[in-house]
Amino acid sequence: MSAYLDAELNSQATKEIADHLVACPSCREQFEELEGVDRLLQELPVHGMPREFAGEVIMALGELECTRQTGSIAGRAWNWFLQRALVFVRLLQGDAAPATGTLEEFGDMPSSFIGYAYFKILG
Amino acid sequence: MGDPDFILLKAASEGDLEAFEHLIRRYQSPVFSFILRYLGDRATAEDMAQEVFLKVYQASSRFDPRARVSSWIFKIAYNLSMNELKRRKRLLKFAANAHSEGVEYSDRVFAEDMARREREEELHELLEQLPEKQRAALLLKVTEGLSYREIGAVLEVSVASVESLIFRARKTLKELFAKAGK
Repeated sequence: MSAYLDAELNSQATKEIADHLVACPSCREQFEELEGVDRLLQELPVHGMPREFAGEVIMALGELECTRQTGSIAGRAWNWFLQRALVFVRLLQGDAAPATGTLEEFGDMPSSFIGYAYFKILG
Repeated sequence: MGDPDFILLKAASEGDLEAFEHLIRRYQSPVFSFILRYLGDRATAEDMAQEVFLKVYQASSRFDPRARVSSWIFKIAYNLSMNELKRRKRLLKFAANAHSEGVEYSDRVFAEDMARREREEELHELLEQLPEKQRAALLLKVTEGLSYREIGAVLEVSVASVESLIFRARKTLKELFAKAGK
């Protein structure tokens, strides 16, 4: 019955269960109770992530890559710059969603951080 | 036609950050929702969601194209969540107040409706009483819509086991709801 509720049965088994539920009040009651459990779970709210989340992951990735990479300091510095330049250029092009934050909300961002300059321009 | 998610993942594994960003946007809400419902703690879920995608990127070159990208991403999310649960259990052995995390969660929830927030907390508390694999299987099916086969790939169990896990989870929750007067 659980697999029927999840539409995981083949067509023949599905029909057999469907026919049985019509004919058997006891089983139908049990099935409706299972449906009730699902309904309560589906009432759990969907908490979305802010649009900045993807950019934040990319930033964190850039920092991880910088600390992980071997090679010259210049190479690591160049990679660090490229990561941030990519995000900054996309922001200016408007490909990303409009900024949802204000400069004050990003107060913990160091003034040398490139994103700080972007929000200062917006502000 | 190939899995569009695989095309994005492959591009990401070759250093295409824009493709990786598209992949993140596609999965950020489902991954976050799953972790939040599984752990019941928003702050941890936010941190963990980021960690999931960092691991996705780092492991992208090792992805087996025979698998589905969605199952693989949820598998990473599930494994990280399980590690967090184990970590909490170890901490709880030494913690004075076993309910402290529940109190912090209710303080952080952003829902304005107090009744809805309480209901959500009750549901989380009932879900926490399910064994971890039953909870994961049920959430992945009912709230994230994965198939039994995909859930099997996430939990590394057979389809028959997934069916059994979900059936038992529903049965247990039904009894818990009845006791709680729902």
